[in-house]
Amino acid sequence: MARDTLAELPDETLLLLYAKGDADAARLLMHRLLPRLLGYAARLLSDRAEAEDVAQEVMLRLWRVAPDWRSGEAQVATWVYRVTTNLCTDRLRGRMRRRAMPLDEAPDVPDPSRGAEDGLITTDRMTALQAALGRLPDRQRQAVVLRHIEGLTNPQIAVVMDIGVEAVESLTARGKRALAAALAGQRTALGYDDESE
Amino acid sequence: MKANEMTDFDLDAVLAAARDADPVPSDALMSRVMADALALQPRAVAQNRAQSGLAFTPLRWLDWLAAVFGGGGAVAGIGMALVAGVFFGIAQPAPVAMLTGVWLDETLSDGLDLFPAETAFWVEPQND
Repeated sequence: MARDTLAELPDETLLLLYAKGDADAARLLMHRLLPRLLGYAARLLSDRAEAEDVAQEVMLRLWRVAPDWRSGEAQVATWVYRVTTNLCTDRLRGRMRRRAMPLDEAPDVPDPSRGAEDGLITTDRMTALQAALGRLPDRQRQAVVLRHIEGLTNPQIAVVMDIGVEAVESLTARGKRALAAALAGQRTALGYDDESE
Repeated sequence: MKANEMTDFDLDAVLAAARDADPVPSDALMSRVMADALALQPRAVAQNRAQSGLAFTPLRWLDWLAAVFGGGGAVAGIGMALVAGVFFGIAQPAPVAMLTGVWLDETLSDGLDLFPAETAFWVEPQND
């Protein structure tokens, strides 16, 4: 099938085409999913190398399940986010078992005295956001990232996290409040002085 | 609210920026993922044959025959024997014809009466 035609197909159709032997469908599906999975895993784990391992493992499991994929039973995106969440949770629990990480060992927020040239502002904001996310409880972090960064709907997040929609709403609301608290006092340092006033 | 506190607007802006900042997977990672995909693709070879225009059904029959007779070598041997048999049957080379002629003459014509005379089945009527 032509690549232009493939590009218009939904994830599930690409997965089914892959299961029937279409390597181009696999390549396109990888380009769609891998950056999102890598970003999501990196935000949950705060570790690029571990995030790469998780993303590869999730894709591996997707390839394995492809021949048995039942059309209409689940969304591919929801499925891969769910597997990613579970693998990241396992790794975070493994870290906790190896050593309890005190709050003062969490990633540091960047020094507010650093220069705020235009090119550095975004980097500073992302670093600060990652540090603040790292201070949230795991479930709140997952819900906030899925809702506000990955852009999933609450029902989709409910499937990913295996909880009810109301629980998702509660987690995202509490998580966002906690995130604001974690970033408290950094408005000027993160370059927001001149933008919203 | 204090002047240095993050507003909801600011927080939404940070999250929106993060949304557009997914990391780019390295070439090495993409190569590994694609290698996994190809290794686990169950019918890739068959599909490639079909896409290249080769007839798919006869190949499946050959695969089936090979499985039945214990491999491609066995199927090839049987195929060669079949071709040789048809050749000798049609061409009937002189040495073969001579051998079969001698054998048939000695075994069939002398030992077997394939067409017995019908008189052997006659029964004479008994006249009382």
